[in-house]
Amino acid sequence: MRAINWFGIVGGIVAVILIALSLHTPWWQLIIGDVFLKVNVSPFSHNLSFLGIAFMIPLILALNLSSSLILLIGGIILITYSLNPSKAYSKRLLCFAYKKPLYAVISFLIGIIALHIILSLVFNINIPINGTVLVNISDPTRGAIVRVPITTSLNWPFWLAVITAALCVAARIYHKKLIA
Amino acid sequence: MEKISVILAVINLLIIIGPIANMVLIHVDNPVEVIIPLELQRLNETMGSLGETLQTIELINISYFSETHTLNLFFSIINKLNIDLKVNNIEADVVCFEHGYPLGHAYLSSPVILEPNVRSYLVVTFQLTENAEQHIREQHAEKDKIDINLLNFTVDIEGIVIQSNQTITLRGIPFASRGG
Repeated sequence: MRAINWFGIVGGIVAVILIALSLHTPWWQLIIGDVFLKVNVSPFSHNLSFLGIAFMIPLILALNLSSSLILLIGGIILITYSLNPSKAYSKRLLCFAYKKPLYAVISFLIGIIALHIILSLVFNINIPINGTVLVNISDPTRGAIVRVPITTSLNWPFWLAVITAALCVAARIYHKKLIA
Repeated sequence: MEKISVILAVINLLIIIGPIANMVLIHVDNPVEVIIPLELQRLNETMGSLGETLQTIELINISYFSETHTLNLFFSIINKLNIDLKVNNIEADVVCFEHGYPLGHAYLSSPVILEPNVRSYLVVTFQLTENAEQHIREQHAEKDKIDINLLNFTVDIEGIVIQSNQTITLRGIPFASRGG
């Protein structure tokens, strides 16, 4: 009976599905005010909206496109490997593919934490990774206080990405068992 | 075997460099736009227009309905932005100018959408409390009109709340039928 790495198959399929889902639902969302400023981010897409005017940052768009293609190819290669894990070239395919979802999750978390630290250090604004905070900005020259509600949410595609990364790592571990 | 590794490495490299190079080529006339799109560059201008909008708030009329003991304050505002703005609320604590006695709480009757570059009108309503009526009967019996102060004047635009520390004095409010 032909050996199949089921972790790899499931991980590869979910990785490809994850790209499509992330275009629809962001991994992380930040909303200032009602929709004064809205930021939707994932490694595969992003969009910003300021008072209803939507725009994107070209450099991040390029990185999103790169991430999407890398994970898509990674997913396809992982599925290809998983159907023939005992071939001579299989380990190279696996080693190329299994890290991709993990890299996506880690780089995304680094980005969010970096944003958190930058806002905290430069603007003295502590935004939560997941939650709501009311930021008070005092303007003594005009005798006014500006209250800015900031809401952030870590959405379910992020957790799906964590599961995908775990499945891919499991595929790598299971590979040792398969070829033993 | 080596061939596969090289092919995968080249694919990786092309996927990363390709989209970034493409974005740089698209924005070759204005490379700054790759990182800071036009919309972000105009952010300062937009924030300035928002400040200008707030400065156009003007009290244009006052009316008092003795049957309902309701005072309406009519404000005008000009939206200096090129997009719609939603005013969720305008509110203030109303106190007697002479005695500092709390008379009630004024608020915007319903949210108003401000169209770009058009003068819009806002009706801020407040109803005299029973204690306030008694205060006016007892302390201002000889007057047809009294002066009031608006404290904690707050404007909520698109969820961003701006609270003024300054006291706004309105003179000659016609609480004419206070005696009932």
